[in-house]
Amino acid sequence: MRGAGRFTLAGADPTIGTVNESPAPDDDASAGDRTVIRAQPRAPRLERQGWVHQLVVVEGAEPGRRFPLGAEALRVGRKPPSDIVVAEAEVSGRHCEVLVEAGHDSLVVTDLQSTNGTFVDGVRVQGRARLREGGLLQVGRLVLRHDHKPPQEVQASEELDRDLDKAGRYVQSLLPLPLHSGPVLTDWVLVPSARLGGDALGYQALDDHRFATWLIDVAGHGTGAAMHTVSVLNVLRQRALPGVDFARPEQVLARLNAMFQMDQHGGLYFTLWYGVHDRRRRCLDFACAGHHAGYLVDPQRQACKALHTRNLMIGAMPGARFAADQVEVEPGSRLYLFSDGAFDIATRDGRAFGLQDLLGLLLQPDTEGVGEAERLHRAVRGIARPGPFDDDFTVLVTTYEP
Amino acid sequence: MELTVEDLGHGCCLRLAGRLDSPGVDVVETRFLAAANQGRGAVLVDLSSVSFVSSMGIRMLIAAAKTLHARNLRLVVFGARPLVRELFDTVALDQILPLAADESEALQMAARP
Repeated sequence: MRGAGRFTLAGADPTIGTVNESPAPDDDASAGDRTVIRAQPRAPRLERQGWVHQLVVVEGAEPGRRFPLGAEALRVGRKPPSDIVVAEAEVSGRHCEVLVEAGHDSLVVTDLQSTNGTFVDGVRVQGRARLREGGLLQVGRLVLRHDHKPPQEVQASEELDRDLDKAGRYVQSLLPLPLHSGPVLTDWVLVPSARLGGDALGYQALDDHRFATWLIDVAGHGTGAAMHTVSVLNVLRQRALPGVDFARPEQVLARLNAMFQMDQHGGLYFTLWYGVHDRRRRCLDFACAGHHAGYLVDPQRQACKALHTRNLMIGAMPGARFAADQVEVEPGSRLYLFSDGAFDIATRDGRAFGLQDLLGLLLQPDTEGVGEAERLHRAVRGIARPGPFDDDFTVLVTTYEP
Repeated sequence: MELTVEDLGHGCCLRLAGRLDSPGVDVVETRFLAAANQGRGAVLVDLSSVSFVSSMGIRMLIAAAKTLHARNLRLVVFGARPLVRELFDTVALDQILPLAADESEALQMAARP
């Protein structure tokens, strides 16, 4: 393609106005050349020849997947021959179409009289609507962003995407599998807000009756935060803290604080909730470092109890002291841990959603066939505005079986 | 996110307004840290017009406090709204930097030896 991916100065045609008779002050008069002054100076129009329109999955089955737009309309619907198939009951068979309009940077979205509507930037499309660059298109639970880029940038971002995917898979591989049987059951959801997040979680049996659980939240997200998360996670997984009794939360926190001072770790700190359940003594020893409370819900789901100790975050101050606490655990109780990204949520209607709203969700009944962490994720997702969460969303549910 | 720097003679007062979250910190961090480290006196940080503080916001405050502390100077935060105050309490921020209710209390705290 000629001129592909280059800015073409379409306005550079020599429409000359008047010629300045006296040389401009910066002119070398002897050279004989003079500054030509336009009668009506105007900015050159930048034509984006060869630029590529894409719809990028922001939320849905394959985040990051890109659908390029060509001359033909891109069809979205529940079944083939749609180009983007969204296998959701609330999506119509033929739901909407997206088309490039020559000479415009935005796309045109046409709703094909879908039952539940097509949304552009949160507004239901009546007939047709423009989807500007960076705008969000929502069909059912699928959210797509409109990208408009030069081809070499598309190629570069695809390479970066692949690298980030690999890094993301590595971080995911460090997270434990959910436990569906045994004396302790676990279930979790971790959705990074960027390709790489700063949240992580873990658990392991310390011996036949004690079980440790933790949740980490490194300040910020992206590659830097994720690299820090990986080093902390590996230390905890390998129990690589010399001289520390892992059944004593205050010792774990103090040693991590000595090891991960922010001055020596790129200015990054992290918050941590760490607890050890003892089945014989029916109790849970726990400590928070700059983290909000974990919540213990009784088997009858009557109330949730905040488990919090007031300590600084890990890495903020050398020699900080860390206090732990203990709580009795009725067999069958559930422990809920989450990052602040699970409740600092911007909602669809602009209402504030906060910790108290999330706590209200904890006491609601299970959803048949859906894990408890996923139930909470879906509930929050339904309230949050479309698009990725502002922060990593992490929920870890641990059930201490009778 | 906005930052206004007010000279207090020997120290300064940094007034923040808006959401001190990741994007907000990106906007003001360089200027904030530069202003905090410029003077030879204590630094007051006014949060009365800040509606939200994220972990990145806390990180910026701690970073400034630590640099000042290394020079034997103090950073005092004041005017935090109830939700922000609650967050500071959860993360025990008072263990690392003084938190004052208002500007006059902040001035007193800054003047203490």
